[in-house]
Amino acid sequence: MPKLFAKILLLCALFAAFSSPARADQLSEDLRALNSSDRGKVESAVNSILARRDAQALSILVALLDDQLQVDAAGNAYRVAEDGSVTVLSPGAPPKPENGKPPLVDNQLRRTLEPAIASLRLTSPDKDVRLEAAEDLAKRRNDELAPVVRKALSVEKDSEVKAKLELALAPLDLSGTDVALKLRALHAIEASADPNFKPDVERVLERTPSGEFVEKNPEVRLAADSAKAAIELRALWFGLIGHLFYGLSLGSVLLLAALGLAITFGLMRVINMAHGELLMIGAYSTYVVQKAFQSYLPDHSDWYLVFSIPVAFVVSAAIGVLLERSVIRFFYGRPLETLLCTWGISLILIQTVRLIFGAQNVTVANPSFIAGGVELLPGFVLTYSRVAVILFAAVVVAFVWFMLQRTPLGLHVRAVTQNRAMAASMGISTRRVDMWTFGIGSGVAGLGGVALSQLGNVGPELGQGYIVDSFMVVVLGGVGKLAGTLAGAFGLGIVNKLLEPVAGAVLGKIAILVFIILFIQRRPQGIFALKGRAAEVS
Amino acid sequence: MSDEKPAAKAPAAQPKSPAPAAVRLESVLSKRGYLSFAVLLALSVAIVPILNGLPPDSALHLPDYLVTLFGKFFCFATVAVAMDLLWGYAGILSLGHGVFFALGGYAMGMYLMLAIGDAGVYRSKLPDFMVFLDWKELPWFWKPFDNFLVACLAAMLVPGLLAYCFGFFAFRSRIRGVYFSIITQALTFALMLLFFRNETALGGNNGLTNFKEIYGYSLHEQGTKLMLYMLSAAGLFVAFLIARFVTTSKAGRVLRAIRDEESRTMFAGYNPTNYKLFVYTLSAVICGFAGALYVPQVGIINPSELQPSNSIEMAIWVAVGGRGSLIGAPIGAFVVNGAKSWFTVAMPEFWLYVLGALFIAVTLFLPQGLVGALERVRVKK
Amino acid sequence: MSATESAPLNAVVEEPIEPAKPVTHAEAEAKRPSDNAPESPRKARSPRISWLPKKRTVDQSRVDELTHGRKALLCVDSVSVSFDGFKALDNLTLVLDEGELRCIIGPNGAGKTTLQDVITGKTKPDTGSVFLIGDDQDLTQLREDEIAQRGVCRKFQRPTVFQGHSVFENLELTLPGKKRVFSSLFARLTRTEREKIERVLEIIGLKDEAQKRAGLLSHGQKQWLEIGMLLSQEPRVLLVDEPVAGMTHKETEKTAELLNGLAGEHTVVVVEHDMEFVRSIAKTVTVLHEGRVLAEGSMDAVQADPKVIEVYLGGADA
Repeated sequence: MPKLFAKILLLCALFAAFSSPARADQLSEDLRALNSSDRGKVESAVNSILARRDAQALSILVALLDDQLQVDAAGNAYRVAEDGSVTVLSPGAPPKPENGKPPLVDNQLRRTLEPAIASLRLTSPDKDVRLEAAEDLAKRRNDELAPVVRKALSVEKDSEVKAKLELALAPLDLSGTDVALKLRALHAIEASADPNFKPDVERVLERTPSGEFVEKNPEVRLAADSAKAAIELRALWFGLIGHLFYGLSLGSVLLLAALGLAITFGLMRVINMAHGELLMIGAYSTYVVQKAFQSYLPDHSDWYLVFSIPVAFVVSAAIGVLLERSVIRFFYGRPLETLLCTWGISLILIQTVRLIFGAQNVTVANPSFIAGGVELLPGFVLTYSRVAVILFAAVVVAFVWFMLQRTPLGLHVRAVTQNRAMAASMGISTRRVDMWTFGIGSGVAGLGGVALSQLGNVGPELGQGYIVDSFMVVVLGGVGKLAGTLAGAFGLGIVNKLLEPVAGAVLGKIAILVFIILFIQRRPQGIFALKGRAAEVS
Repeated sequence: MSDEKPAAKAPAAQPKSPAPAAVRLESVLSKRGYLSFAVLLALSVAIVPILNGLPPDSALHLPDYLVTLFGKFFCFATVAVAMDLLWGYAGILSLGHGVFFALGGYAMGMYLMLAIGDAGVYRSKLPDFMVFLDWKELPWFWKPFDNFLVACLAAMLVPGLLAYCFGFFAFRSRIRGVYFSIITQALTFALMLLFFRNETALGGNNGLTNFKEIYGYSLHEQGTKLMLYMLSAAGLFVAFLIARFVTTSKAGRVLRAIRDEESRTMFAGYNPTNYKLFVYTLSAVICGFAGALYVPQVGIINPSELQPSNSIEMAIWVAVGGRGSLIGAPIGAFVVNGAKSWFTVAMPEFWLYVLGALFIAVTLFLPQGLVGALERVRVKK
Repeated sequence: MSATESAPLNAVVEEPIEPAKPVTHAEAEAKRPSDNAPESPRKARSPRISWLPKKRTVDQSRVDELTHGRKALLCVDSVSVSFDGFKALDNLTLVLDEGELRCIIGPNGAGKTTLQDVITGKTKPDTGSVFLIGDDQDLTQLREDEIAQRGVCRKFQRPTVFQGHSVFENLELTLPGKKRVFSSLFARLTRTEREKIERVLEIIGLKDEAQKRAGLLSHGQKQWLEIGMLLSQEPRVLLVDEPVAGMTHKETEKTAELLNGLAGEHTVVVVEHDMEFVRSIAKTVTVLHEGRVLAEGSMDAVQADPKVIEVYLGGADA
């Protein structure tokens, strides 16, 4: 639709350049007449505009039909969309309508307008306009327009447009009796594989209660069968693509949640059950930053997200360092105690947040640049926020990788991980490395919180739902391997989303648990196994 | 170092020289042990009904609601014994014991549901929630629960079976330590989701409730409540004896050996998987038993019992009381649940702080729990 | 374990060494009737669920080829193990005779530890098999505990005892038989078992410490306790990993005596770095290098072998 609109505007400008002032005057008069309360006047004005058969007239009439037309006192036409954006349809008019009035369109007028516009568009010399119109008709399935479509079909040369027109006629043809038309309709449907036509095709294949086919002609039934198969195949593919995307999205959420854990658990062997709460704190930091922007910088409130990234990182990291210094460092080498102790910490963090922000969920709005989405395929909306989270996850992984592999701190971390005593005797302060590693792991969890805040509500129990899944990711991927965490997160995310439509969300979860247990049977060290002596460190 | 071996003191407390293979019961408890066991048992079972039977205006009168509360505590204490058997002696920290407790509870709940008969809201033979969901027939797996004995057996066998299957795979692949803990958390989580579904035919969100009678006795009668209380109290002692029997046997020594030096035990010819599987299954059976006693007393079982956090709380009962003594665990259960009952009434917003602080304090300062701390004080004197 | 413990260590070790020889003799006599002790649990074994194909049997002609007339007990047949491309064992074949004391030496990374891991089932080899003569079961298909029950025992380099158990219980746990869950749940010590434990306690000189927690023993006492545990396990093959690491000269001598005493009755495999020690005990020495057998023979022959000198003795060792 926007493409069509741009085309029309362009044409509009061209016509405007050539059209005479007299014609323009006539147009503004007609436009003013649209607002008249006299039905006859309105109708003759519409007919007069129709008679112009140019692009400007077309865009005005389309706007009229969409109930988005406004005409001001000077006779200038504007298209005012639902979100308030204004398109000027009369050349030379001021950018915004003054006292613009929307003409009323009643059903009778609509019945005149629709075929008229349809034929106007279908006879346009521009192939794209015709194609767009044909697609529109196929989607709208208005039987009343059938004569117009048939007429257009009889003169249409372009095969693409022709196919669409045939498709537009398909429902009507299928309910008719002409076998040739039926076959043509079914072939058109098969070629398009449009799921909207599935009920029409299925109707052809219906049986009477006594088991006989309603459709007597076997050839038609055969064509219907293959049309149905084509539709189903396409639906399957699209479903698969959709699930893959959602799996990718879930995978990146899991990855963000698990990445911090891969550092604290994978490298330091600290079982931090409060890890989920660090995610939650990251999300609440985003919320606080958003609030601050709303109060102090309302004009730039979209930028809160950018600022909340470092804030969340620092806040979570600070809390992580605090935890490490005050409690966790007493537990190195005693994982079960660490587990219980950090669980206690998580309870305290949850309750504190609850007392400060309330037990209710708070909402963090998407900034406008990642709000909304685009419907790539029927039934599959690519939301920008999910895309943003996937990209964000990639950036964070790159950050962590860089930190571990290319910085002195990373070098020290890896050294301490592999051989603590040796690292210490080489002059590395293992205590400081522990602190920094834990801080960074916690900070990364905070970044995960920022991402989570963009996908759903933020509440005190946000983190609890992620902790087990995160551990699963780390265990599945293989402890101490960043690549493993990556594979584990996306593997779990995609398998989860692919299983969901088949088995349902709950059974999917259980199936995954069973899968993990069975997987660990075969590869106890995770996807990326360490073998030999290195494996015995654990 | 020794923090990791909480049971280290336990063997010292055992009979000095293993008695010449005479009566095995003698090694379960010493003579004094049996005596104090009997006294405690009699006290626990008798004192609450007696105090409850006093006239209401008496200063020592125990209100009815406390009878139920204590009954609940005894069920929790039984769970704590089961946890301690597993954690304290075999070193396996299961964070999924809520599953077995809930399964036992559901088994009993199903019997209680069917025992309502057509006295429910809808006057139907079917449980109310099934009528509400417009089901016409009892699902097949509900049918045997008509029978009280079947339900009692199922309350123990179903958790046992689940534990056996789950443990078989987990222990076989040598999942141990925190990995096992985490996997059991995942198990709890998955089962909670399963039980939340209406399709599971176990009441979904609301669970099973509005019970009327058990084995012909009305659940609203104080006499029935006292009976259930006494059973729960006795149940704890039975569980204790069973656990004690295991831990004082050679199998108990093998379990501790596995806990301390698994590979050495393996090279000594023992298969750790089987031992772990045995103790895990036994522990689950005891949990199921406790759950079955718990449900008729509280009058409801729903998926919230399966929340992962519940299972973790069970671990803190044991940690507070002290691992590897079998005595500490029930004490811990009483202390923590007593505190919980008081706080959630007196200042509910601080209970999580208290619980959280308890987790931290116990792991940080009382690695041997209350019992260990008391022992240390005694040794110092 | 610090120097503070070396004093009691000497004191304790002093005692047991003297009776070591005579009692192993007595042991031998006591063992006579139960000579095929490791045999019996095998027969009693009921089939158990397992995903591993356990019935990989050993080809008799291959056995003859490997042993040709020797009184062999344990064969390691063309075993290869690799870790991430690194070949820890490379088509290694090794035949141990009954009652032999064999020393295995080799530089770091020669595959000594991996070899022990393969024999005891800790590591599954990529190819090859391990078997006891007279038993067609391939040991590489079994779990650690099943191999142990067939009489292949192992002493770790670090003294590994059950720290939380009393010394007596440590020895009780390693007695042969009654290793299944339910039998041990109802197990009672028989008179003969008790006597056996008492005897082992005497050999290792820990009679007075029988009720003491093993964790409280000194380093040396733990070493002896572990050897006692292996004795009570009635092994056919005994794998000993660096038994004298961290021992004083005197202790080393006594350990040598003890191991010599054990050989003859048991097949003993000693993995050791200490050349002096190896020379003092070994009749046959196997030199491993890069996962293969470099040389095999008497100490003198091996030491004269130019290949060995190059890779191993050429260094400033021993």
